[in-house]
Parts: sequence; structure tokens; C-alpha cells
Amino acid sequence: MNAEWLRTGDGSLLLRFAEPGAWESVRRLFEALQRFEHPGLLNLHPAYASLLIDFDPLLLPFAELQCEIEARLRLAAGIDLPPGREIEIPVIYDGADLVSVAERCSLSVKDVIRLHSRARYTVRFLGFRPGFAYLDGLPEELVVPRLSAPRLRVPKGSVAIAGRQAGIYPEEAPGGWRLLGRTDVTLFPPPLLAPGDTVIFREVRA
Amino acid sequence: MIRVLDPGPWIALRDAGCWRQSHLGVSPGGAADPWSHAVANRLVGNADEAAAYEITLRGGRFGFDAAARFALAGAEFDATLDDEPVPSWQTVIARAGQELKLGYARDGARCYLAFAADDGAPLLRARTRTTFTLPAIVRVTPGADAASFDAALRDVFVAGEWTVSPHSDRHGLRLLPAVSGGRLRVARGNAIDGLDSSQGVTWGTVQLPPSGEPLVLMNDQQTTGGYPQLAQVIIADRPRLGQLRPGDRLRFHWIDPDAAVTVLAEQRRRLATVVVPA
Repeated sequence: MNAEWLRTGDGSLLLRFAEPGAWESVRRLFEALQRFEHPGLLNLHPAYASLLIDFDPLLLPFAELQCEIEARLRLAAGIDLPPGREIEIPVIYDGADLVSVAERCSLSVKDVIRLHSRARYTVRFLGFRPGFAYLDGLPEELVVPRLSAPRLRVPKGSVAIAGRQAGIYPEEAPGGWRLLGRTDVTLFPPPLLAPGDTVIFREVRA
Repeated sequence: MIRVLDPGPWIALRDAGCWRQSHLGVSPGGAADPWSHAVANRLVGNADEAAAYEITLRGGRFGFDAAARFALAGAEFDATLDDEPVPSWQTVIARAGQELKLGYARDGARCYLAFAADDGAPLLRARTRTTFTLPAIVRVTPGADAASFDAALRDVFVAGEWTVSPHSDRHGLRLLPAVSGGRLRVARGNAIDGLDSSQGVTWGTVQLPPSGEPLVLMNDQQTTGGYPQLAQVIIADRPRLGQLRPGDRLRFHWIDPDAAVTVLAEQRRRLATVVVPA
């Protein structure tokens, strides 16, 4: 597990993984650091290929944190990751961008729904808003850039896509993702989804 | 002990935030100006992390059911207790039935109202009070993506003055160039976001979207974000961010992480000795 170290602030360190399987490395190091109980370790932000660590540099000096991470990077390779669960999300496909996505992709609305709901998605990490899961596995045919101007309000439960990503808004928030539909499943609290879970969208009628 | 009679538009009880939850997408929250929050708590004998009211831009009214000690710290809101002016930055005793009224923020954006039962302990005052000089100087270290921007852009970022846009809140401060021509030109097309476009962001992260208008994330921030990260505000200057209000001007100043740790250590030393007998 080779990480690029970026000391981005007096209390933040970003580790970037460029190797294939970066996501697994991030998860393993995250699990190893979760077991590190120290009042100076403030937050861990795992992403797809990076882990941001917030720390208090007076309670946990950078040099000490560095030693701790190096030791845990060696341990991390041997950590067993918890197996993911399979979670089905019922979706009413009536999103504001459903038709425009179909047009941009030269597909029918029916095809967009079929492609989106037949795929199997993997939760890579949680972030952005409480309980928001970044989903990997969007079919290539549905890859479109995000909106050029984000909406000020995306409704809670919106099922959306952006680039190669898919997701569900756990609460109302501003956002630039394209809206395909909605679900009434509660994503937070507590977090419904965890890294490694498989998500399947199932079409339901309004 | 204390009752909110009129909350005003923006009042909330804030502690020092909740940590170790950002992997669930949960940001720390807590007081936007942790320095004033801690000083207010110290003045009434509370722990630094205790909950206190955070009052933003416009005050409200508070009633006391029983004798209590309270303290105000942060921006000046022209507070009165039963119509008598009360000073900030020191312990005040309220009798049962009295009413505390706060006006509009005269400087800064927020003040903290800490309170505790009156246990007869000596009254305290703060040795220093925060002064709000503008443009605010905010010190930053190079952010995660600083190297992906050219040196000229990094120079323009610190050379010019920035204005806090009205579209700013506890999620983030949106900045506009204070003078025309101060805009940052970002070379970046409308790329397809991969899953690797998003990385962790934290309190004080300065993102630079394609618009060229920097976004300084505050303590209710999102926990991951896709825009490139130009800079990171040092921990010791977070209180300053919490006191900026729409229209205020600020400037950035580069500093290296080790120097920032020294500044933070000095700030913590000052906090440990800030409260003295009145």
C-alpha cells in the first residue's frame, strides 16, 4: 500500500493512493485508524482513492501521527473487510432530468430506467451529506456530466446521477446531479448504507 | 434558569462540535467562532466545550427564571439587562425575573451567550477582547490541489482583497473579488466526474470552482467535495472566519504548516490565561 502524503494544513493530512485497487487500500487504512482511539485524532474522511485525516496538532503532533499511520499501513494489508450487504431501493422514476438525460444519451426514457435499475452498484464511501453514499457501477450509456449550474434545492430522497457516479440525496440539499427519480427509503439516521454494500434500484409505480 | 423569549432570526445552542463522524458524511458543527465560545464559557466557570447560545447578526430576548451568571463574548450586540447596558467579555449576574436583550451586531457576525447557575464564585473578566479589523487577514497553507494551479494564480489569490458574498453561511463563505480584475481564471472544462473526483474537505478548506470564486468551507461543511482545493485556513484563524459577514473584506496570507502550529500553540496559551478576576 503506497500512499502519497500531502500535509494540507496544520491539522490535516491527505493520503492519496494511485495504485489499482486504491479503494480497498483506503478502506483498510480507514478500518485500521478507526481502532486508533486518541483525543487528537478528530476525523477520517475516506473517499474513492484518498483518505483525509483531521487532527489536533498540539494533542497529536504531526510526527507522532506519521509514525502511527506508518505502523497502521503495515497492519492494514492484513485487515479483513466486513462483507457487504445487498440492499434494494424502490424508486419512482419521475425525476426532473429523466427526459433530458434520455435525450443526451440518445435513449428512450424506458431505456434509461431499464439501464439504471438493472445495474448493481457498490457503495464506495459515504460523504458530502449525512448518509450520502457514492455508488459505483453506473452503466456507460448513462454517463453524462453534472448540470452546469447546480440547483439550490434538490428534494430529499432524489435518486440522481453525475458523471460515473450514482447516489441518493438523504436530505434536501443544493446539488448539481441529474435527477432520475425518488425513493421514500430513509438513508439517515442511522446510515442505511456502508462501504462495500451492493445497491439495487427497483422501479415502483407512483 | 434561562429562557429564550424571542430567538431572533439565527440563534442556536452550540458546543465544540461532534467529531469522528465525517466518514458517515456528518460535519462537526459546533461554534463557528470557537475562541469567543470558549472565552464566554470560561467567564461563567463552564468547560470550554459547554453549550452556549450562538447569536448571529441580530439578537433576541432572554428571561431568567432564577439568579444566574452569564457572559457575552464575540461581536458587540449592544446588550441590555432590564434596559441597563451590560458589558461583553465579563461575568454578569442576573436576578430572577430580569430580561436580557441583544440588538444588532455592530462588528463581527456572532456572539456567544454562556450561562450557569449563580454559585457565588468570583466574577471574572477577559484580559483581551477580539477586535474586528478589516480587511481580515486569514492565514492559509497550500491545499491538496495547490500544485495543480499555476504560480500566477496562487499569487493573485493572496495579492488581492476578497469580499464575503451574501450567499454565505455556516456551510461556507463564498468570496468575490473586491476589485474588478481580481477574478481567478481557472482552466478547467466541464469534465466527467469519476468517483475519484471527490476527496475529503474540512473546516477551512478553500475550494476553487471553475467560476474562479473561492469557497471557504465552514464547520457545517460537506465532508467530501469535488472542486479542486487551493488552500487550507489554519486552525487558529477559524474564529476569524466565524466573525466575517456578508460585505466584509479579507485577504489571504500563505504560511507553512509548522508555523501555523506555533500560532495555534500561542493561541491555546492565551486561552489558558485569558480569564482573570474582575
